[in-house]
Amino acid sequence: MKYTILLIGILSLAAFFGRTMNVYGQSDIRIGITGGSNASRIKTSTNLTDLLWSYNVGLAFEKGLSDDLSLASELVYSKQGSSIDNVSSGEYITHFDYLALPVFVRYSPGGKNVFFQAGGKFGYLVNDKEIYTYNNTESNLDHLRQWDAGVLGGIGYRIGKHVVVDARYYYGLTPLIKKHTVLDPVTLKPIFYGADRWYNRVWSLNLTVYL
Amino acid sequence: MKKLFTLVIFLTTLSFQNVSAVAPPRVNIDGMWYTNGQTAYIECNKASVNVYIDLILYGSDYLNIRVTTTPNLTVSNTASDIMKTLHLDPDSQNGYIDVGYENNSGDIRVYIQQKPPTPTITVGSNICAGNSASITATSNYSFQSSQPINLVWQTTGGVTVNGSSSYIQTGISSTVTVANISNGTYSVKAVVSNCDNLESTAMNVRLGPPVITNPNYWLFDPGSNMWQFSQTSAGPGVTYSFYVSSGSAILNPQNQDCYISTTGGATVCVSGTNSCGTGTPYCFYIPPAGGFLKTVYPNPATDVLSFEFRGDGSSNTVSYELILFSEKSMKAVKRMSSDEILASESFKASQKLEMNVGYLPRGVYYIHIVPDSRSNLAVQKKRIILE
Repeated sequence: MKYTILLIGILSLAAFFGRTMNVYGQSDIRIGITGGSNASRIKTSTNLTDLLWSYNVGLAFEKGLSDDLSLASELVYSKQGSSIDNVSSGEYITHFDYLALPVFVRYSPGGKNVFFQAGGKFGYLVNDKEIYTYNNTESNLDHLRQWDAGVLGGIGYRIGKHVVVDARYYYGLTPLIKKHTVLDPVTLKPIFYGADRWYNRVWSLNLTVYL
Repeated sequence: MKKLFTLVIFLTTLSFQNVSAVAPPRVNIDGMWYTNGQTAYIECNKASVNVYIDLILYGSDYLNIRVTTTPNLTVSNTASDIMKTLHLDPDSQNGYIDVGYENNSGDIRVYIQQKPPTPTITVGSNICAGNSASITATSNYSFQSSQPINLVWQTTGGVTVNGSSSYIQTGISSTVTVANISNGTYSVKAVVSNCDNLESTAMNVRLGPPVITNPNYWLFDPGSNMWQFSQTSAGPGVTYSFYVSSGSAILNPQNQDCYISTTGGATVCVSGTNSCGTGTPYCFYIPPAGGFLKTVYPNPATDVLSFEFRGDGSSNTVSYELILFSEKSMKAVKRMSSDEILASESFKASQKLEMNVGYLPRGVYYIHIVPDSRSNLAVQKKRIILE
């Protein structure tokens, strides 16, 4: 249910963008490029993993709503995942690469350079991998959900008219693994229907340059 | 505004939750359950086995298996989330697997062994020269019906087994007569003939007086030049005696180990005594506080540098390396190990090393005497001028 609400919210934001485009032409939507580092991990049923360092890069859009309020969105390739550093024979790493669409509202108190931001993010899974570093064994993960959605929030700073630096935290609300049937190891018959619930948790530090 | 700020604080708090380690209580390897630290013996003709864990539920969630291994083993996925296929070592060598839950850090380790277990022997007591005894070896081996083992006895020195230097018996148990004629060793190992003669680790037994094994000595307290000596004890029933054979030193024996303090350097010997008598002493030289290099002359030198070293030249001692550095290039122009120095003609003739330096460019040089780092002994340095 909450995903549906989030979806409706994001779609209406997109509609809002579209409407502005139609009514005012190209003038008040700023386009730019954005990129930054991701420090990601995964929350499981029992655990929160160590950090995996990676990056996100893509296009950025922003539209001013009033003196202290603006609406921002991005279309980025976001590399996320997890690391278990202290596995005795090396590291265990998972990679989840998304084509992601974050949308957020930025609020600058008193129209100052500092702003707070909050919103949601949609991701489409384009690549997944699990790696054991000690012998570089790679394989794919099974039963993954193609879509990811969650909330994000953070703070940022405007340097001049074109540059924005911001830190944000993404809190995934969609379990990464779909529920499926587990087979009994001995009989290979179905014994249980469920999944270990994994969620994305990502810290990002981004630099955005608007045209 | 306030709500946004609260959200940021809330998200920050969420991101610093503790990482907890949860490990599976047990793992099934090839049909048998094992817990942390146990060894799974796998039949030697198998190339792969299944590894699975219990289905552990957290509400409607369950945890997938994660398996990491030693590099000689590999793992592949199966249709079940809680099972992996373990591909064993192509040469049936040992390894281990660490089994945990996917994206959890806890592990349990089970050792994987395809080699048969090391045989154990019934009688531990020594057999002295001129005597013999009946000895039984047993292997705790589970696959005798499908992959039978032989127990292989072998001897060294003046020891025989059933009157010969080797003896082979099929089965997991073997009783032989071991005779000690003039001291030596015997060993017994399990061999699987069906699997390219895959062998267990051998059980080795020394007969006769004790032999000093793995002797090791290092500077314990540089202030008083006190050294510590250690060795692998040959077991109960052995007493060790330490004595100074040349020079002077204060000895403080502690069973098979000893603390040795010396100012002028000393040769110390140790021997072990058991019911069969006293073994050959092991003698070693402890240098005085200054180190091994006594003097080097002349300085300045032209063609030949003479080095005099401390030590008796015959006993064991800490190994070191002599390095001659050029001050100009700060590169080593000559290196010699202590073995090379002891073996040199000039050392054999006059207990000193004569080094030809006539061909080197004139200038300032540094001599470093670098002892084996395990000795904790400091590097000795001397400045030399060639002109």
